[in-house]
Amino acid sequence: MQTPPIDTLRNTETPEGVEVGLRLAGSPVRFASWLVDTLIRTAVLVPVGSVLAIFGNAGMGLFYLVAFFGEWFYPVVCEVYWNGQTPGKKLFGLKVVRDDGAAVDWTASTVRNMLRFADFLPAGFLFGFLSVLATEENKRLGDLAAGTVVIYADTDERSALSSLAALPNLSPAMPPLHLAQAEQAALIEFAERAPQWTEDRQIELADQLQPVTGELGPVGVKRLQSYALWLLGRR
Amino acid sequence: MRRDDFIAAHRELWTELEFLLDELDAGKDPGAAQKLPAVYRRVCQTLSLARSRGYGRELIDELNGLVLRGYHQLYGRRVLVPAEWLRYALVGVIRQLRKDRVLFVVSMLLFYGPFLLTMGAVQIWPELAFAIAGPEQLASMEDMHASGDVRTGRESSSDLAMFGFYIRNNVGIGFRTFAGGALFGLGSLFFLLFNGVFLGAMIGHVMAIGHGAEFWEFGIGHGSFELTGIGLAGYCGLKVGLGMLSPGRRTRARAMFESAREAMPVVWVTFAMLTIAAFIEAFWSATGVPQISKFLVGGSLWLLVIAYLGRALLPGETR
Repeated sequence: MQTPPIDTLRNTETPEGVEVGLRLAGSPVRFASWLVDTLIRTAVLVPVGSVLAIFGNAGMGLFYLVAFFGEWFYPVVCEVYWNGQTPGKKLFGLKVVRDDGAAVDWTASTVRNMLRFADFLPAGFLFGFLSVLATEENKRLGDLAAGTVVIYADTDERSALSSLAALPNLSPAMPPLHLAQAEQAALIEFAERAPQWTEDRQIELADQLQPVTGELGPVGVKRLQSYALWLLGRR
Repeated sequence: MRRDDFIAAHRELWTELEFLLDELDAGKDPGAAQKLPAVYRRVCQTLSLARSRGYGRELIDELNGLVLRGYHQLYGRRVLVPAEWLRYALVGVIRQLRKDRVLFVVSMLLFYGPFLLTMGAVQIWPELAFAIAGPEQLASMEDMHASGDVRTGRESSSDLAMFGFYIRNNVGIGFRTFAGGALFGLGSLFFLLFNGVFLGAMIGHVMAIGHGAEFWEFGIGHGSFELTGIGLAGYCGLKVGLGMLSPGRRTRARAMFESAREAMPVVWVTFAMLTIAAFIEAFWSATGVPQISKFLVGGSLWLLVIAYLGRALLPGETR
């Protein structure tokens, strides 16, 4: 048996022969998005119910129909026609896709949403929660039967390619020794991600390369970033 | 090639794919759909290159996201062709049940068996009904059928109210019976047996107190669709449950997935049958039509359901 991966990134290969990564979502954020969807449904049902109540019995009948649709098919229609997202999922940047990353079809979406009833049992999504913990791909029972995963769709949000220029404005410097490709990649990643960390953390990491940079503290950080810029092709 | 040169050389291509995807997401420009595959494939290639050359997480993430969006747009099917779908459900259901004859018959027996047994038992020991259903439930059932309300007809507005109520209630029962299959079939088993026993007790009670004719005049019309629908929902759930319990050479997850997919035509037909049942129950069963017509129509509907699903027990195509 393979050792389970330690992060939540899953690679899947497309027919074009390229690997794409799916970032799996965990229970808390999915629960939150379900809660939002439930609130939205209630927020729609209450006013609709009070308007329909004016029409007496016939109104009640229509209300039951709307409630039925809301209970079972609101998520299905949203997922199929709205890129795998219900309003709740959209709010949290989540999205449902088939195991291979393709868009969900009617069958997949219907199965996963009908089986939510089983996930909810015995109370408060306990079975679903256990299933998410037990499966490598964070699948609740409905996802297992439907062949779907819930992933982060955040890439739509970050306006593509704009953040590439966000590297610090330093003069590039050639690293003092030859670096293997993995080492180059590590330096580039350090430079890209450093702005997201506190200064202490940046220094802590950069200090470990003191034998290479010959510097400690903020100067070491800057030096590493200069190397990264050089590796990226700035001259 | 250094990363900056790589970006400069391909930026236009990426922007184009992003533009096409935005157009398609917004449901605009049919021309975009034609350009998408070629542009998408070229971006796939740049992602591969960026990965193998180690251009950094940020660029790879960016391209990964683009490719994923393109893949999502290009593959996966969301079109619903009504005629094709009808064929998938109506023909598919017979093929599936035929392939799975044993489980189909077992599911029906698991529902109709307890139903008929309980109904019969209540005729012999009437107090049994009180052990199964609460006194209030039995009383309301008595009121409804002994008072003759269901024979004189309701106002049409309350017909609509009842339709909505039956849909939400009865179709909901069917869906839950299916969903219960995900618990190794136990949930479906429970709903089949429970509904069989409970409905058997309620109806048996009305018959035991001497209002059987009134009840069946009301119940015969929608009974065929409703009761059989619950049995079919049970089949769908048990199918999924059996996949989990005995996956054969597949993983349990894979078996569960395949079983659910196979069961889907049956799920749709179950949904249709329960909806038809709700329709009949609301707009026909309680009208003031003469008793004889109700029995004639109701009887024909039973024959129709039996003739339709019975084909699954005859030899024939299975795929």
